[in-house]
Amino acid sequence: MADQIPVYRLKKVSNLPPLSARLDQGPWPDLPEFGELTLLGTAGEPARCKTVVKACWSDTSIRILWHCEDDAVRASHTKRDAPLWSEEVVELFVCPGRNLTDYYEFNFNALGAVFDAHISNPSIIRNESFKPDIPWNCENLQWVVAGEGKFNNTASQDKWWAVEADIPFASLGGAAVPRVGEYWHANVFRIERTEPEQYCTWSVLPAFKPGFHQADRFGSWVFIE
Amino acid sequence: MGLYRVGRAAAICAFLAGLVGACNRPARPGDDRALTAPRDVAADAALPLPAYRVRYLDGAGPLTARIDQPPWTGVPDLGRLTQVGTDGAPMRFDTRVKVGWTDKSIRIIWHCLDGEILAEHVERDSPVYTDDCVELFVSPTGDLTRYFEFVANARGAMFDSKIANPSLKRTGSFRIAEAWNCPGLRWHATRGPVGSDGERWWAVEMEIPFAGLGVEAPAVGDVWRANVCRIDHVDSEQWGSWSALPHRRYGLHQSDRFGLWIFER
Repeated sequence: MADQIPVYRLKKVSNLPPLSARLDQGPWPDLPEFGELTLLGTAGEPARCKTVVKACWSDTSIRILWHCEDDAVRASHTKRDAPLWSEEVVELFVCPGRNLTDYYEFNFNALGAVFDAHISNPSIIRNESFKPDIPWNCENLQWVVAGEGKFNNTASQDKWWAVEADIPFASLGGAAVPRVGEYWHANVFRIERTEPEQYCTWSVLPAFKPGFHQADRFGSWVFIE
Repeated sequence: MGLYRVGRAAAICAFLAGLVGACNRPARPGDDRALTAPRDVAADAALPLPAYRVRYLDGAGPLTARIDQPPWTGVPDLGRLTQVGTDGAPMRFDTRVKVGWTDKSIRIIWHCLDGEILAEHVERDSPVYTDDCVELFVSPTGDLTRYFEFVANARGAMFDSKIANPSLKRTGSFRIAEAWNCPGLRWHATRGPVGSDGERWWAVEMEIPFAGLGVEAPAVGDVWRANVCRIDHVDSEQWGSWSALPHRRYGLHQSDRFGLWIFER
């Protein structure tokens, strides 16, 4: 049986407003959601935590929004390129080219920290040959976070946190601006640390052990008008 | 003529003439005579796509069209073909497909169970798609507006062409260069005996040189876009497709629905 690769169609939005990380603002109310995220290591079991992900594009960049319902938002890292994935985080892996061994990784947490890296994954599914270039920083990356609650406060019943990011095409290794009808390969994730932990992925990943770096199951992003 | 039914296409043609009022050219998937109920094309475009890891074949050997022989033993099947214009209904007869690559070429094999085998055409670039046939659509560059089509029947007739499909769906802008012949292309067709239940099988194996497609050999991790299809004439035609094509109106030329071939070693 062939793997089934999810498809998301990114609409083009001209005159994008400044970032808000608000689901009810800017271009977001009119745009479709990615499908429900599923649990890593399952054949598509839906994650229990609710995550809304949307994306669009302009002449210069990709915009992406994660809106995470969460009653206990937890994060401590604040430095660029700190190991954000060891805490609660949202992630994007994006391959603008036609070779799945070469792509970019972005992590964002609720405190506004970012981890960005250029990934070399020669075996397509992570093994000892995997090499992240962590000092790589995405030039002119913009992002904002928003939320409701008192993060990291055990007495607080939090509601949600969200990240909106703007990723310039030009900063992804000189990737050309896509033409209408063109496609990239990408996957989006969330890690929720309230026990039992949930590793959430847009594209179904039945194998748990290789983690998120299973590039042969990146979804398809189609750029449309 | 043995297994091959002769004259059946003419009968179908006459029948269709009654339906559509004209039959001055061969009926071909993509003609709108096969319209089903209207569907939401945008929603269909967002359906999942199939992906297949294309294995490197050591010493691929001669073309035999035998799926149970090297280099095919141990190579996984592509997955089931489903009927175009349905929500995943299986075809009446199963089709097994395997794909591999060498330093110089793509290898692909179809093994088709069948009842009666319709195969009239023998000439290169004749309308083989009006017979029972297997089809490959392949875009080595990933540009979905430009790709190649290969069609073969059980008698070993080959139709190969270069396609320009700017709208990604077969519309007025669609152009087909039928005169194009893939340099270095080799293929072989064979068929099995009639079983006690009246079933038969036939098979086609192709070797498509990268140079014939104007590209270098892929690197590990490269993605090509492709779809693999079969047309079977039973009481009515069944069109089978590896990638789900619930919207039949555009026939098999729906390049935004091509699946993913991921090259590995």
